[in-house]
Amino acid sequence: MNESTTNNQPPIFRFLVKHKWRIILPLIFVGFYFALPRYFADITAVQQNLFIKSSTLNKSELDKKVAAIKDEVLSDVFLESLISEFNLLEKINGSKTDYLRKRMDIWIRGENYKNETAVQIWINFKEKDNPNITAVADKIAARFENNPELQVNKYVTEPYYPVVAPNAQMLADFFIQGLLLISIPLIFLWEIPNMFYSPKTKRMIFEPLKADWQEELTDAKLRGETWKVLQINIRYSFAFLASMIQKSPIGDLFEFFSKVAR
Amino acid sequence: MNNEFPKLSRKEFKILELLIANGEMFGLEMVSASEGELKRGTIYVTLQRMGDKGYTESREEPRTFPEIGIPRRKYSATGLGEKVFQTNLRAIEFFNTGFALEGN
Repeated sequence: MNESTTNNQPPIFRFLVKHKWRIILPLIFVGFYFALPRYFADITAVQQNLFIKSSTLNKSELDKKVAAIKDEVLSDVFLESLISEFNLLEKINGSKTDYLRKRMDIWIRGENYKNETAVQIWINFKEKDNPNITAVADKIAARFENNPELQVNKYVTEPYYPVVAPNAQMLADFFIQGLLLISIPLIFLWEIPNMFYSPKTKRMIFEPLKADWQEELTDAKLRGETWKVLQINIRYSFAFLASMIQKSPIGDLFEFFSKVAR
Repeated sequence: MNNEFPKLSRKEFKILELLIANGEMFGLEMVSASEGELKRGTIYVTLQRMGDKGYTESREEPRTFPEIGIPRRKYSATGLGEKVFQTNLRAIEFFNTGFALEGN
């Protein structure tokens, strides 16, 4: 029966049905491949290295001076001036100065240099090709360069796009976003049949499916299989969606063509 | 006399095969017993369509204490369903014999 039924179908239909998972799964993985690196790599970073000397200050005074300028740079007043001058962080709600402070690091390395203090300014924006990033770094470096007591040699890197390894925070974000994505359809899924399908369809299709869902879920919960609970929810969300599509005009059309093919 | 007989889809055939062999079954039991041939997302739509054609019938099975929740539905093959299944089965067997191949 199976072979004779399949043999009557058009070859392309037969091929698609037979290899559906071989087509769908790679597409999902390709989707992830393009989505994930972009999430991790949408960062523009710039690094400026300043080697600072002074003809008037001794090493200890120089270190103190540099530390004081660093504090000025990280002060709310200076950061607010940067934000308004470059129109930074327009999309950020809450404290923009705190956010900007988190996105930049200023390291002072004084201990290994006899008469110099090295300052490394590292800024990263969670956005690709941010046009302001070099200007912001220059503005910060200028605070050191414009000081009359300091002589500064500056080495600048071009803006670059580091691929940041997924850290715990990012993975947690992904997990939470994933759960939300799964939960949202779960919340509304059960309500959709009430709006679009007849009482008979609800009774014959969606209620038995819900009963099975409940059955498997209760079983997994009783066994304490947390991961299985998630797996069951995902599986039944898809089953619910598949049933809804099958009972929609698209499903009827598909059924009609399958019947013709048979 | 009508020469046509109702042809079953692969899923319909499998469902009737299981119901005839096991008597009354839940949808989920059929999914498990079919070893991947029937899916959770499609079985109830298929069962409803088969019910409309008169191949299967169903009844609500209330939960027994201490179980709570939505009542489950039990399915069984009708006389017509069994007849259609046997007809399709014979047609397949006939098609697969050497006798049928001689006609090619």
